[in-house]
Amino acid sequence: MPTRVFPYRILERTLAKMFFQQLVTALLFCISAVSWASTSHSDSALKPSQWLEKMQRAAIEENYRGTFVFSRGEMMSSMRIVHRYQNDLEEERLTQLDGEMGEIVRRGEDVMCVFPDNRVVKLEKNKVANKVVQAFANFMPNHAFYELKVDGYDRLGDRSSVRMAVKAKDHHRYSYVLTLDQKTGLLLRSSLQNQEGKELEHFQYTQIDFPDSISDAELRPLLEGKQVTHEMIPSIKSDTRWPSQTMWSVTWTPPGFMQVNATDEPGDNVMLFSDGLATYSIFIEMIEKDLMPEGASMVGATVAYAQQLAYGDHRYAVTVVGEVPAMTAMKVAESVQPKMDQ
Amino acid sequence: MDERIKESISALMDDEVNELELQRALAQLEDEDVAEIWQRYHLARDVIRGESYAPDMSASLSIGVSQAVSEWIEQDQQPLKSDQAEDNATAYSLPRVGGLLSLAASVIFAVVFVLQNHAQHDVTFTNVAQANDQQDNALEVVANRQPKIIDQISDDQAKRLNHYLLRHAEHSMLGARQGAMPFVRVASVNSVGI
Repeated sequence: MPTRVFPYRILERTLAKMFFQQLVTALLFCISAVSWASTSHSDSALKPSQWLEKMQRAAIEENYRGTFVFSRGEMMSSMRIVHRYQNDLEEERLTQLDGEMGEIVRRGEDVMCVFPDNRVVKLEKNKVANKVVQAFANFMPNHAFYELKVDGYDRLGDRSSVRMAVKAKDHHRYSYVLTLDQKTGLLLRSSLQNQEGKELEHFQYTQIDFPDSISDAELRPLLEGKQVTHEMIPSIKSDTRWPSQTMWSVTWTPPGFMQVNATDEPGDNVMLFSDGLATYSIFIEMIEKDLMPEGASMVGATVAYAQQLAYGDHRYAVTVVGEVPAMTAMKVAESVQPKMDQ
Repeated sequence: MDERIKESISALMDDEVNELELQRALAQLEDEDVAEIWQRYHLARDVIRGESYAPDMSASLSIGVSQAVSEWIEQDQQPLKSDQAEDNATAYSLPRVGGLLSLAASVIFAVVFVLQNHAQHDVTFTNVAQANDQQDNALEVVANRQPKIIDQISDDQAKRLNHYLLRHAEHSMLGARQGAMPFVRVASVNSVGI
């Protein structure tokens, strides 16, 4: 009987096949890893300022829906948001999920507040939106006033994210820790802190997705078939008792802030300032009843500083509203004065 | 020391000095004796009023205050504070507005007081701006100014506040910095409603 030869050739072919399969698998894995790494690396190569630009674009141009929590101090609330960008039109619907459900619905620059008692409140159109300079949209925070750096990468809501530290270099503004979705740049989490490191405001998505399309129904407020009442919030009226050519100016502006709307006509009584990240509005009006008491009313990170001033025989009320320290708002308010000579 | 100088300093603190006396006082303030008198008068006033000033020793003042004040006095366009502002004496404690001269006096006081106490570390200001805001330091230091924090408002005032917040959110939206954040802030306000 011949000696049975161990089937080395079969074994060789089998081993070779196995080896080849494993080699292919390994190669495929390596290619994927390199591809992922190169993608991540290209994102991580973005400068902090580029991440902020990406964040700004995403806020406007992405379709997204999600649920988030917002807290300031002891107060915490959860909300749902739906945002669509279609045919150059930005639409948004913000719904409160705690307590009675109120909503804010936005279509372009038209804003509507919907209350649980079927009251619909809109803002009267004002000139500010028409006179905002184009530069506002492109105005990025200056390195002279903020230290920007990428702090790290992690995952948030099952999405890869990048964390950025935006640290104020002086006491005229607050600091931020921003967490952005790595793919789209959308802001997923935000922590606003004062100079002492105390968190004044926190915002964080608990769930978010980015659908290709969003239906009109998702952007409609819950008013279908209900009897509603409509109200209009008037714009901040200027005081017509001033000489007709009176215009307004501020003699002190915190470093790094610039006015981003034109107030080049007599009667323009609303000024808007930004440093590329923080914003404050100045409202100038006549003194009347129910004005805010003089001083700082704090609503989380937002201050509303009210001041009454006099110029000769004329008296006027200034209110500075923004996400800046109360001291900054106070100094701005005190510096508002009329310009009589044209 | 010339008694007239002491009288000028005293009158300056009481807002009862004319321009000639002010100029004389400004010219004399570099004199150490005069500066000491200035300091003692202000300390005495502080004790009577129950106020305290705490200069930050790290702040450095390098502005020509006397010159700046002199120039300011020549101008006549500084808004005056309202009567209501003068009554708010708790934390909003600017010097009583008797005119530009009061503010000038306070600025001069800041320079002299801080310079005199820099080596002694007798007192320290609180809440003084950083060294890179030296011009702001002068006014903040002298008055120990802090914005008055409002903790109670009426329902009508709350409604007005909401209007401001909504308008400001509308403005912030125009810059599209943080997406829906401006309106999130408004929506989270639990108040009598807009």
